Amino acid sequence: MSSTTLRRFSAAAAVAATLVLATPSAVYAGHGGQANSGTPDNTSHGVDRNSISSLGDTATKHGIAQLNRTKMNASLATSGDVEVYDAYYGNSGDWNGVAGSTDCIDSNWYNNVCNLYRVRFNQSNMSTSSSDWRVLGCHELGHTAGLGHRYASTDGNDNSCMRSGLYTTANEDFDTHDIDAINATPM
Amino acid sequence: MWSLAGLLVMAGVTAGCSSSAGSTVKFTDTPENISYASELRGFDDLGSMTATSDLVVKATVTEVVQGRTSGTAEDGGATTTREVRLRIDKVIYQRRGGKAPESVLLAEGYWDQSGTGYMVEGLNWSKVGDTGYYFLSGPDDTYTSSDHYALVWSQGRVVVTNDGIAISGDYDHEGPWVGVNTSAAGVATFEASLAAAAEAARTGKAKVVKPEMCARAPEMAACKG
Repeated sequence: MSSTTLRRFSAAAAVAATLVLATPSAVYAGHGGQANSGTPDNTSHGVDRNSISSLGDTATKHGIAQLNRTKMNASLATSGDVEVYDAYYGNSGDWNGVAGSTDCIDSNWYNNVCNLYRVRFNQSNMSTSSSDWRVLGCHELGHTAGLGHRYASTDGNDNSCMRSGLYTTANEDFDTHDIDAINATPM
Repeated sequence: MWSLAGLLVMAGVTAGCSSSAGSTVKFTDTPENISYASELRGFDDLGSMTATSDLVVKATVTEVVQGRTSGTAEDGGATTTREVRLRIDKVIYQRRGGKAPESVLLAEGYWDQSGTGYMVEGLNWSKVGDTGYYFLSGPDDTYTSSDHYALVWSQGRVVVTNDGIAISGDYDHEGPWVGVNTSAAGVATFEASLAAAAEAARTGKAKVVKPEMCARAPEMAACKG
């Protein structure tokens, strides 16, 4: 393959890759299996805590408990599928108004499977309420099982932790829809 | 023999790379991963999103820059903020007095320490020449210059395309954009909706919305103002 052909193919492939990444989230985020951060590579989830605070620990353990209400088999581990951190990341830039973040830092582009997730709890934008942290832990670990966000139209009783911007004692957990979505996602 | 996956990975790295001065890290020009954010704010209507914004503008992207690098291995790794320079074409709403800036730097994604790019939520990376409407929070007082801003919410950006107005973020036909004409034929109507929301904010009919968590943690920076 000539260098010119290779450059043209690379440019075309880059455009295609961008479209693959951009198209889903430009339209709908979806829910089960469509978190766009990739679905996990299998149902076994080792969750590693990296010197996190006690509230971060509360959040992580609660998130694990929620995952274990589904077909996922999540447990604390010293390394594995999910690396959890917490810190005062601040309120600047992409952290503006953001309490937590989940991204996939080792993905298989070809089949949209994630091998390693990174969860970061932002202490700068969190209260000291254990309930708020349970919501956050459920939410971020829900993303590691492939869940996207929920909305008022599909969560009329406001009890899913996958709602964005909703922190109440009523939505600390997955609801039935969330559980069904994870269980229906091919892994 | 090259695999498709291998070619895609190579394309993501080689399709237009850049690196900061003195650094061997090559930052990608396109995002390769997506980050989900748990946001404190959400808005049900355009008026409240406008009133809560510090600045609402129509603007054009003139530059992409590598911003501040922060973070350590202990907190998940260093990240470099990706910023776009927005030339402000029209000020639709300004919450506080004073002269509006002519341009601002808007955070839009980031790179990790390996140079891999991430888009946040559904905020595709803008490119130079893109025009859109932006609902901004700022200026960020952690910088010495007063031109660093962030979106007030991930759905606070709409991009003008040949087909109309594309709403960014995790939009699922709920919230402030419902009922707003976003078709190519409705750009004038769309701008009229923004103007009406701005007027409601100016007159106090539309209120500033603070995150609900501020009731329990009013000291948070996100609760100020």
